[in-house]
Amino acid sequence: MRNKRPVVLLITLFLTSFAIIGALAFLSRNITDKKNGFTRRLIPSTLPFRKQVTFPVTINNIIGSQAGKLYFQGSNPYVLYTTTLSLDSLKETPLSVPPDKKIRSGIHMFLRGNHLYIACRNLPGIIDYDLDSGKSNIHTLSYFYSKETNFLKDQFILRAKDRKTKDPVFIKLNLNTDTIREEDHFSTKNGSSNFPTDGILNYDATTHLACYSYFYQNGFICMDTNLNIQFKARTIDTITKREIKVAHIGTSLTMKQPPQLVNRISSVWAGKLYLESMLKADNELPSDFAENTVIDAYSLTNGNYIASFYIPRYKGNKLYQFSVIDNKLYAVYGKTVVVYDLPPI
Amino acid sequence: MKKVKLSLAALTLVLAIAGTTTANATKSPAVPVPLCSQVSSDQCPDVYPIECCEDDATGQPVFSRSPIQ
Repeated sequence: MRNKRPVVLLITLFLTSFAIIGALAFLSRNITDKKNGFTRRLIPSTLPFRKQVTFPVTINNIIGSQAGKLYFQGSNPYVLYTTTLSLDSLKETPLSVPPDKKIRSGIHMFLRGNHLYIACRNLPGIIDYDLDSGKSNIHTLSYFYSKETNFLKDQFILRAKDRKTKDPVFIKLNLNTDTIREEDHFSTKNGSSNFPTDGILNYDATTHLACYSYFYQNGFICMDTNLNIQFKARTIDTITKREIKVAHIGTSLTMKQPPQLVNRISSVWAGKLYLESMLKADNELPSDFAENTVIDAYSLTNGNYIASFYIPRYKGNKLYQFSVIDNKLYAVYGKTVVVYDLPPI
Repeated sequence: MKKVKLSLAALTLVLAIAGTTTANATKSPAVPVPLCSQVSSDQCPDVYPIECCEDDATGQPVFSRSPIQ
C-alpha cells in the first residue's frame, strides 16, 4: 500500500498538468480571437472558380483589359504578357525599350489604346510605348514619385513630394507639357514623410475619380482629374491611425518599427472600390479570416460600405495582387492567375 | 519522498513548456513590413506598392515585397 501512494500521486500530478495545459490552450484561443469593434456584411457564398493560367514568370501587376484581351506585367519590364479574358491563351510580346538599369525595378504599366505607358519610378519618368510601331518615347521627370495612375491618353496623377515641405502631394501630369507641375490643394503639409499616409492610387473610369486608399489608417479619399477632392470616406474598421515612427539612417528615411497594416491592396471597377482589409471583423471566424483574403466593397459615388467577400487561397497560397474587371475577379498567386466570378454586390 | 520530488520536478517542467507555448500562441499576429535598412535587397525588390525606404535628399522611394505569405 505504501508503495502505491507515490504512483497515484504521480498519476494525479500528470493528469492535473494536462488539465492545466488544456485550460491554457482554451484561454489562448479566446485571447487570440481579438475583437476589433466592427462587423462585416459577408456574402455567404464562396467565389465560383472559373479558370487558371500559369505564366513562365511571377506576375507583378494586372495592367487591364482591352478588346477582349487581358494584359499582365511580369518581373521583366521588357516583356508584355497577354491572355484572353477567360485566360484561354498566353502570349509574350517583347518590348523594344532601350535597356536601362533604372527601369529594371519600380515599374507600373498602364494601357490606353495602342499606348503602353511604363511608369518608371527610379528613372524617374514615364515611357510611352507604341504597341503598333514598337517605338518608345521617354519622358524624364525632374522629381521622383511613389504612386501613379493613368486617367486619359498622356495624362497621369502622381503622388510625389512637395518641394518645400517634402510632404506627399498629388500632381497632375500631362506628358505633352511635362515641365508643368500642377499640385493638389488638399494634402496636409506638416513636414511628415510619405510613410504615415502611404497607400494605393486607382482611377475609376466610370465615376472619373482617382481614389487613394491608405495602408496604415482608416479610410480613402477620392478626387477628380483636376485634383479637387470629391469626398473622404471611412472604412468599416475602427482604427483611426497607426502610429508610424520614422527613422533617419544616413541619407535614408525608413520606418522605425514594422507597421501594422489596416488595409492593403485595392482595385476599382464600375464605381466600386474593392479593398483588402487586414483586420478581422467581430462576426468572422478566426479560421475564415486566416485562410482567406477578405475584400470590402465600397461605393465610389458616396463612399459607403456595401458588402464583403472572401478570396480563397489557391494551392495553399494567399493572393498577391487582384483586379476586378467586368464582374470577374482576377487574382494573382505568384506565377498563377485565377479568374473567379464576382457575385452581385 | 524522492518520488514526490521527482513528480514535482516533472510537473514544473510540463508547466514551463505549457506556459511558453501559450505565451507564443497568444502573441498578436503581426503583419510586418520589412525595413529596407534592415533587410537585404532580395526582400525589398522595389516592386510592391508598400514603401519601405526613401532617399531623404532626392525623395527616391524603395518598395517592399508583399508581407503576406
